[in-house]
Amino acid sequence: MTSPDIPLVDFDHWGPEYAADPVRNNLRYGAKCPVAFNPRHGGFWFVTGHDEVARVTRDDATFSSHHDLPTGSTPFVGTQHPPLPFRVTPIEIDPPVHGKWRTGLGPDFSPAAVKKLRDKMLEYTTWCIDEKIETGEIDLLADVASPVPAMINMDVMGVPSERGPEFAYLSHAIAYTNPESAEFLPTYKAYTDAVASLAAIVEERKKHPRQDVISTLAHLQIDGEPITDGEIMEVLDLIISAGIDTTASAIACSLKYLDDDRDARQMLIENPALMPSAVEEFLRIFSPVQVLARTATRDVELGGQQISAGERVLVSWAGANVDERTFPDPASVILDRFPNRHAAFGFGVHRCIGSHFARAEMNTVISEVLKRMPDYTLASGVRKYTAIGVIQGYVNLPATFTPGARTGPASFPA
Amino acid sequence: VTHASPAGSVRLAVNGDLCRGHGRCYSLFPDLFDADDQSMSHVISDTAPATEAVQAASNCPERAITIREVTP
Repeated sequence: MTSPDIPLVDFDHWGPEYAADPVRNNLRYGAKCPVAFNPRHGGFWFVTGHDEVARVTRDDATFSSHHDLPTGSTPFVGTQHPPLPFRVTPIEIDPPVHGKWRTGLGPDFSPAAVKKLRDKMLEYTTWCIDEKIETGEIDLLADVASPVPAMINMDVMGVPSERGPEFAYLSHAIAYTNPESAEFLPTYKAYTDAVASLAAIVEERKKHPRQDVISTLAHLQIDGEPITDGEIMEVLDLIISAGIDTTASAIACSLKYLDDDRDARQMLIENPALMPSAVEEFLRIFSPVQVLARTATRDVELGGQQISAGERVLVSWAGANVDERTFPDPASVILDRFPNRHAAFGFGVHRCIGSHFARAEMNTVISEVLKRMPDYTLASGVRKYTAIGVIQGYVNLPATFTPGARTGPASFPA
Repeated sequence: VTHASPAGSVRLAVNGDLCRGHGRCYSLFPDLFDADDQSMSHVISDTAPATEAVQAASNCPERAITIREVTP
């Protein structure tokens, strides 16, 4: 696998250099792809071409998401690279079984489900901004971009939305804390304890189901068998870890961009109808989930390279999103870019189940920030994640603005 | 068909084997497409203006939308 004919990309997708400027780096590595070999982390194929990424992620029979436990017992080690020591459910399950989980969860994440929570989304955003609007100072990440998706996430699961800020804080801390630092273990423990505390709600919903994800999971059967309590907790963990900080990151990156590009901000303020296409463009260029992995099940040719059965393949959604064969002028943010067949939510059967919520949350939060803090200016001390691995984003986003008046109720809109 | 803007109307179809419920079509053209409870798209209008149909097809991440025939 290391003949001179094989294009090599030698970089650490968990390293600080990659995290410093993902767009520039994705363009740089993309120039060597669509498919190249990366010798780091045991060696893996790095796929950046838009067509090649689509081909991999639509062919689950050849490029498997499956994760055998214990991790490392077979080549099938799931969707993160290096692999996690546990299975992520249900994204690390292949068709046809994956489809049974997906069908069970589908209605809770459909456009109709989003529509039911649209008013809540605006109420939470108003409340979050109200808490800071009179002061002229805000951390756009910690005070708005993170808690709003978290509170909606709680509503979707069936957890009291007052717990949103707690899960926002913990899922954010887990995403940016370096796994090798002293803070990581206590942070990780606090996060897993918070997720584990939801078990009491699972027990309650087994007896008294409502219209929420926990009820769906508490009564979900796969091939006639109820799923286990452990599997229920695995899915809730995924919904929290994949559903909060990803959207928070997308909002934060967008607001950072609109601080740098004041013309774009002015365009969006003057023409709110531009927001839906701007949201798609922000998703394309910032791609909160930068990469996910697969394992080849057979020898296969892809993008001119020969991949062998058992080899690992790292799919770069972010790379696909700056592939100039699909996106002319890929490094430029073009608010009305069309068409925009970006890969930010993935392709194929594993397409992000929360994508309809994510879009609506981005649209609501960015619109309200522009409406109520149109002159916000980022303050000093903005910090980016020092490692990407999977998610890219900002640790914080402190800003100042001309103070305004509260517009919502004085107490939390539970 | 990505750049053409033919006049007249066309017949649209969503290929259910390819659609993965991204929802780009029904967000953009709610008069032409709708979602089911799995977020999958289906057409709700037998015919569509050609320009909008071409736009919807060219913006689909899964290439699941086909334009079946053009009527003058």
